[in-house]
Amino acid sequence: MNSSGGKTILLIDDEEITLKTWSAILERNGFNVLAVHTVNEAVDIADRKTVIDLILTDIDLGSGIDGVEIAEEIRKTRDIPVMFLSNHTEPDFVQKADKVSHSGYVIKSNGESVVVASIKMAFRLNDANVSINNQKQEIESVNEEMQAAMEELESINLELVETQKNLIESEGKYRRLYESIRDAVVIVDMNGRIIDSNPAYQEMTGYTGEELKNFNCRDLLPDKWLDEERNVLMDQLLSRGYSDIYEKELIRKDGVVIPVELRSFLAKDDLVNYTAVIGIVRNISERKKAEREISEREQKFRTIFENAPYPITINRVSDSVCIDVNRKYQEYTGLTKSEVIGKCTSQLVTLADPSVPGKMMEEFSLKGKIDSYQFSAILKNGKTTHNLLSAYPVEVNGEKCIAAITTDITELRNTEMALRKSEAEMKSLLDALLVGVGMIVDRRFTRVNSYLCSLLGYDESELTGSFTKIIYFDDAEYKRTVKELFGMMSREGSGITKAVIRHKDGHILDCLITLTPIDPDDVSAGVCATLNDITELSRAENALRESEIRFKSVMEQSTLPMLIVDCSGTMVDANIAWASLWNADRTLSVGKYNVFSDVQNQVIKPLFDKALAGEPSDIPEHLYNPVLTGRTGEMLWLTGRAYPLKDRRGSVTNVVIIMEDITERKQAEEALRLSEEKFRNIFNNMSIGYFRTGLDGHIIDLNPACLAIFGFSSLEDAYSNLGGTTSGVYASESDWVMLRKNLMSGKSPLTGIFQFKRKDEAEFSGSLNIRVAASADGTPLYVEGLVEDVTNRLKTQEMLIQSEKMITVAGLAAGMAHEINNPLGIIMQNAENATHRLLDELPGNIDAAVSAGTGLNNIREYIKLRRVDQYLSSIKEAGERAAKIVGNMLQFSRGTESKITYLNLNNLLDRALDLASNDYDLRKKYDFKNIRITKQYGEIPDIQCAETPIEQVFLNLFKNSAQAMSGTSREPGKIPEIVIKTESSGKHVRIEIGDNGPGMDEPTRRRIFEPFFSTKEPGLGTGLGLSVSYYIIVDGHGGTISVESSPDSGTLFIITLPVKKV
Amino acid sequence: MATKLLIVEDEEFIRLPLRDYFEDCGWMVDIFNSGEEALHHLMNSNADCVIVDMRLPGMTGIEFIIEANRIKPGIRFVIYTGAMDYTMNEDLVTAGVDNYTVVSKPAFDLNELRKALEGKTQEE
Repeated sequence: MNSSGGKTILLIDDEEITLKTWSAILERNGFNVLAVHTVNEAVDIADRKTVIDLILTDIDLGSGIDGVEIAEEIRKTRDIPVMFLSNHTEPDFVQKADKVSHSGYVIKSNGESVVVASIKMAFRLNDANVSINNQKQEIESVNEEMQAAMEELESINLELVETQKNLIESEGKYRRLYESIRDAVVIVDMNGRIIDSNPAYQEMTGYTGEELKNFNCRDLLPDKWLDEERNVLMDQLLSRGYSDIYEKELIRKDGVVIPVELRSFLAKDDLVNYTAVIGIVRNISERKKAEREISEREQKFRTIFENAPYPITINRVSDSVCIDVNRKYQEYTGLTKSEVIGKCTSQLVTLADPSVPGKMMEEFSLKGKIDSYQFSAILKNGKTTHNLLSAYPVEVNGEKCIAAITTDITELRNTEMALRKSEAEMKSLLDALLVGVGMIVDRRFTRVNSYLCSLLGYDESELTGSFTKIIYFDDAEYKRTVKELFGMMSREGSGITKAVIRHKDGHILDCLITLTPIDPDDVSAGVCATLNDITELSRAENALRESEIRFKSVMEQSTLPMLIVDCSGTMVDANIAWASLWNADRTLSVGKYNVFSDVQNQVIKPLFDKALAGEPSDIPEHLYNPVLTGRTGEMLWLTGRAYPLKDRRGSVTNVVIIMEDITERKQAEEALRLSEEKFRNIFNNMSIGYFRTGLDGHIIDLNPACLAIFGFSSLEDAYSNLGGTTSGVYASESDWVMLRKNLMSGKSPLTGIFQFKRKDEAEFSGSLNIRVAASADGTPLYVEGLVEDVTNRLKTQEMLIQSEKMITVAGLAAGMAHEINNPLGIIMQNAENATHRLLDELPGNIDAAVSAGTGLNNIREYIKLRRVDQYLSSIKEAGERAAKIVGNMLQFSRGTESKITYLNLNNLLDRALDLASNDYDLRKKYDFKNIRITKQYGEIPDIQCAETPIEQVFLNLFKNSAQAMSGTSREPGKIPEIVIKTESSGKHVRIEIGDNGPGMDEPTRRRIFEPFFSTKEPGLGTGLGLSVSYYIIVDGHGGTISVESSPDSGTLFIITLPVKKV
Repeated sequence: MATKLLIVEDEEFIRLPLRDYFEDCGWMVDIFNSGEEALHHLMNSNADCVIVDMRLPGMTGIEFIIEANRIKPGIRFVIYTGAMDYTMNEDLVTAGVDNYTVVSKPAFDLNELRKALEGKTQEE
């Protein structure tokens, strides 16, 4: 720092840190610094006359002491420029400081460069002032001194003359004067030898009086003065008795040559002879030195004046006319010296405020000087400048003048204004920031923004100047944070860390603190810290972390396989269930496994794309062949969901694919569906009626069989007919009341046979199985039951009982047929033989009649008269009836035991027809030959059957038809007809035997296969014919036999027989 | 020459009227109480046809037929039984006997029996 010139600055600041910081800064900039903390120290140093070039003081020195006052105090005794270093920018302070010093006012936080520049500026200003002042004062003092010396000399001269007179008159008096006179007096003889000298002379020369007496005055004179001395002696002394005051030099005893001035007188003795020369010598070393200095100073002044970097003018007080300007002024104003000299300032520059010169003069005349006067001027080049003017009185050529030094502070002012603006901007910026900002110098806040204050609960004034430590949770946290931040800052340029901060009211905040040096090259310039309250963020972060842990564990523990993939389908994460489903190592698959590398997964691509578009979608159930994944086993049923994961901006970052192995469920569902279908089929197709009602009997559901049983066409039909309740289906209402009572009292299920009513009011017997369905905990839910029309079954049962009886009879018959047939044979054959031998014209009969004394005719006559022939035929007919019954009964026991052969039924039918036509019984009552037989035989295969029983069946049917058509109710003209039709249907042969007889009503039709059911007159039928036929066809051969008939439309029997007997 | 008929029947009042009937028809009839007796007769005699009951004391009618057919092939048999047992026919088939007719006892008309014996059944 070249221009600092080792200047000494007294730095006053109560804050150690500031003091040290600034000391360092200043010293680095080449200043000597006297740093003091207190006012007393400052005043002490000032009193000790220590060299101080500038006082740099804080305005607020704590304890209510005001730097401005101190400055004033010091400046009472010493004219030292004062510069204030302060944080204060308030106008009050600035004004106050301005009164004390014009040297400057610097804001601490402006930074080193500004402060140093300001200081330098102050020095320059002050130097100029001081040099002018010094010059002025020295000139004045020299003048005064000279004046005084002259006056003194004159008075001495007078005194000397007087003394000479008095000497003569009073040696003593003279002597005393001689001895005590301040001026050195030496007396030499006319040869120059020193005769006497007074103490002043002795002192001046360094010799004693005695020593001097050994010298010639020339001995003390340097050689160069000899001629001068001689000239004075000759020209002045000898001619007029005294010399002018002249200057010469003397060589002191110590060899130093000193300048002196002297005046010499010729001393006359009483005889008026010149006896001696008296020299009154004055040491003018000081004066000479002063003269030299004045000259030098004048030189210096000129130099300074001319070379001063400030424009300087010297104006006459009397007429304000300019008498001199320096070079800088010319440069500054653009005016040449000749243009300026002789003109008033107002004629030279345009002042923004024309009243300025007047005011300046006023101040000048008031204070004798102008310290610093600011004004704006428009220069010749049109530029508006801001100036600071200091003016001091000077005397030039005896005229009172004013030396005015102008400082162009345009730039300074602009800088300052820019600085203020930037400062204001910075302040508003800081206050606008939603982050706490604090400037920290030496661990104290030098500046804080409002957000930081509100964040921490302090006033700005409380926080400013406070140690940063106060905001931390505790000492340890403070140390940790600072260590970390500074460590980081030194390594990386800035630091950031989390810290636990304590609000003024004590509550704790989690904050993020950053630290950045204000000047990266100079840490002592302080740091800028930001503070962000991340308590909520931390909380949210913790919540997020917890939530993530929760999510993660839910995901991990979920039994649903989950896969998280990125937008390309590449695996990001998966859970255990996923890994176990595919038997995969998750860690190996992350970032590698791509869902779509498996072609089977193309199925889910559209859904994945949908998820990428932000919409979750369900993955439909689909079959997946796990073999491709290396997992063996059966096909899997998979389903799931593709769900987008979004970031805060709503962009999809990942897709979660939740898979579900529903193979088992699917199988179970299939089983359930089948079961349901089965149940539904059963419900719909079961021949037993199923119903479901509420506990009060209101209808819920009835199956088709149930509807059919009760004669309803639909559920709606049933509902409307029954009024919604099943109570109406009971023929006796008391049955329902009883059932319900029992059901409700816990008797369930109940079974029984009840009488029911159909829609058409017809009653029937129904088997009822009814129960209360209850939930698992026993709460009754509804009533359900099965109902079956058992009218037919009851009848069948009866029939079965009958059949049972018949079988017993048949078995019995089989066992005893032989025994019964023998007696029957005896009865019949004997009756027949008896008839033969009584009525036939056998040779034996004729012979026997003759030998009995009569004729055969007589015997025949007798027999007929006595109706013996009728008795005999009755016996035979009765025998035949009995034999037939036994024969039919035997059929039951024969069945499959009959001879099984292959034969053609067409042939068998013909034979049966033949038999029918020759049937004795039939012929008796009805001639089969009157019946038209229509044969419609088809191509049928031979079938395996028992010939005789089948033939008997056909015969039975033909006989029945014939008998039916012989009835009395036959329409006249109607030809009885039997139509026989055969056809083959692969494995079966179908035989139809129809007649155009009277037919039968439905009750008859239903009963005709019952044993012992007969429509024939007693004695004509056994009641076993059709039942035996039924038995032979159905039980004996595995065929079917049915009948279609209605009154007046004939009867059609349909028989089917399997080709191969089962 | 009169037809020679053997009647093998243990029931006396069955065989007597049958003998009377066929003798009235001019046939030569021999009656036997059992198969053994009839077989014994056949050792020394011939017959055109035989009426034989199934259930007999001693050997059964089937056994008799098989044996008689063996001794005197060509005899026509009419099985006259009140309890026809068709399974027995299998034995006859096995024995190679096919010249027989079954007539249920009691026969409603003895003429029916005669036709069977004369071989005038529906089989022919």
